[in-house]
Amino acid sequence: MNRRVMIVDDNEYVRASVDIICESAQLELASASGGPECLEQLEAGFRGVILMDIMMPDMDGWDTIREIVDRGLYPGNVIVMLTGMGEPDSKMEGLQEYVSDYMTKPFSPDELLDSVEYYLTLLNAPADHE
Amino acid sequence: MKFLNAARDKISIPLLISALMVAVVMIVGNHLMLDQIHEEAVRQANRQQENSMMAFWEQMNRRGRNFHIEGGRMILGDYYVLNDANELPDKIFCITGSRATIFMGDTRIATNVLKEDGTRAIGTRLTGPAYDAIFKDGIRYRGEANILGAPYFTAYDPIRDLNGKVIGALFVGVKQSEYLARYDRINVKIGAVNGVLAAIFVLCVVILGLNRKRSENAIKRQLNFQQQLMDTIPSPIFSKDEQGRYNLCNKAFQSYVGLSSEQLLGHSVFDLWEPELARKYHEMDQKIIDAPGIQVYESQVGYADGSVRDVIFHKAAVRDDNGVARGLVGVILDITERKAVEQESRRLEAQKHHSRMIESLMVQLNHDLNTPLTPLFALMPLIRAKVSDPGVERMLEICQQCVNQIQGLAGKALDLVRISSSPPRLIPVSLCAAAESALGEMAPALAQRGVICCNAIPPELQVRGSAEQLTLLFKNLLSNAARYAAQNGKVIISAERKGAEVEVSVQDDGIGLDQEQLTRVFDEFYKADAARHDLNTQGLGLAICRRIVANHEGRLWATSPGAGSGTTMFFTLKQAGQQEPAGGPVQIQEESHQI
Repeated sequence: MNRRVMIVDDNEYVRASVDIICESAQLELASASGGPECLEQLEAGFRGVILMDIMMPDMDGWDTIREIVDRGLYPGNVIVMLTGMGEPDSKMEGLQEYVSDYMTKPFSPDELLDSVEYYLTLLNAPADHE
Repeated sequence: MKFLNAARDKISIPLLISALMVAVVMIVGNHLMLDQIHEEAVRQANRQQENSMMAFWEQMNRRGRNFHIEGGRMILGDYYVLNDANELPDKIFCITGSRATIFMGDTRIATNVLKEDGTRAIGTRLTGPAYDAIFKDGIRYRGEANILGAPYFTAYDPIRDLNGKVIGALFVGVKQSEYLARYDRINVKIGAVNGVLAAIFVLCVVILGLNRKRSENAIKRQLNFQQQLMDTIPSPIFSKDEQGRYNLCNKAFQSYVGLSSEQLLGHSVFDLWEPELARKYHEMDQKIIDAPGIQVYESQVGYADGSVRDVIFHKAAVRDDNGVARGLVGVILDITERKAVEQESRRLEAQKHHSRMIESLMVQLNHDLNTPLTPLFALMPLIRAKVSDPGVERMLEICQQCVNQIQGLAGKALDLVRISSSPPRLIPVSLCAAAESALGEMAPALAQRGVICCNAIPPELQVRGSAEQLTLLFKNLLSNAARYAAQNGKVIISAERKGAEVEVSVQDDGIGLDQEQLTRVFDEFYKADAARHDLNTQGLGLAICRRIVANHEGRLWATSPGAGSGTTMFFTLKQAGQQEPAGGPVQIQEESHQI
């Protein structure tokens, strides 16, 4: 059963908090400080729920998603965007279909876990049918 | 007089004077010429008398050489009696056309000079200067003389006897009236020719004058049309002659300078404006005259009404066939409004840019605030779950509240900036749906205090607005109501059509507001007493509401019967479609939401 979660955020403390929450829920957490690291881990075989921050330096969330899709790394993953209010959405054109949900920062542990558990269930569901 | 007036009216004065001068010159010329002819005629008459006299003497000499008086008769030669020898004067008359007389002493003894009764003037006497010349001075006489009351061109020669004594005289002459009849005929002919010439000349002058008048009228009509056309053009137009004097302008130019055409035309800038300004204008005009083509430049001018206008001058020199400047023409284009629009557009663009900058700054700030808040938000519940000490639990709760407040403040500040940055596009939206959407989002907050909310807005009611901002408006009003409504109280949202407007109210049954609070409640960061200590509020909710209502060109106000009696928030919006305003409250369909 896939219980893997990846947090992609340039803020170290956000990554650490998500790590603590996931650990408490027995989730396997991968941590990426930006788009390139996220892509590296996907290339290395990561599949699961990706919690992607939008505003990151150099390569933002939308650029990363485009790269994931272009490299054919999207299948087997669920992407949940971590967003603040009013953040620019001009780049989401054509990429929305790859985003399953949006979660507004800051979020509570329950909000995070509810969302992650839900999408993990979805991810695992087809495998159950196989 | 009438004729003169008519002539003066139809033919110009210079032309009339020219015609009169030509007439005078012709008369004087005529007179001089006739004088010459007259003088010549007189000379010829005198010459003729000389010849006649010679012929007379020849006739005499044929009959004898000597004269003497014998027995009261004058004898020529030996026997030829001259008394009544009228054949001799008649012969002279036949030969020369001159009358002739033989005097014995001073008495006519043979003559063809006739008396008034038509008989020969035999026996009449010689008088006057001829008599004196012949009988007193003994010399001949040539010239004009009066014979029996009629003027003659005459010649008198004395007849002397053998002793040289003057015993008589010969006379030849021609009546002036007869001789000058030819001259008079010529005079009449010349006069007639001159008269015809004068008549032709006058006719030509009249025709020329009439033609000129016609041309003048045509030019006048053309100038009138031109003036009318120029007066209809709203831009000031003018022209100046080579001395820099205004010679044409339209009404717009007159209003621009505040002077009438009478005051302007024929005057230069030096007559009309201050020396310094006039010199500046003159120098500019000189530049235009020296430069080829049309000169276009922008400037700022003060109109006579005191307004300062932005204008574009279009000026060009007027040149003759040789390219010499004979003046200039100019048009002033008022671009004040265009400038104002451009300036306003630039101002709006700058404002927009500024707003975008603020908004983007706020977004960044919001993000940068939310990022560190995320670990706090995420970790605090985990810490609280692991703490059993009530004191530490209380401290953590306070920390949690503070984090909540920071998060709320960041969100509200961003809301405020976003709704203030640019006016929304107002389209028909369902008011009920906007309220419903807000109710959905605020349900947990309302439920926390057991508040029931009733949305009584008719579902078909549409207003001109932004759905997003109206939802935010309701959210903020409901957030307040949720906070200040009585525990397990009730909030009613209703709407009423009032003319072209819709008046919306959100009524709670909570703590109410006093008079001071009612006036200050919409200020940024203002919190009514009860809320000042509420760490979950930012004092921005109603300020956001005020901005949103202003964006919708509406009004926002609050009423409260007093502390403890609840508060009603009112705001107005424009109805969509502007249908016939229905008086009185609309039929509302109550719909309650149990939260």
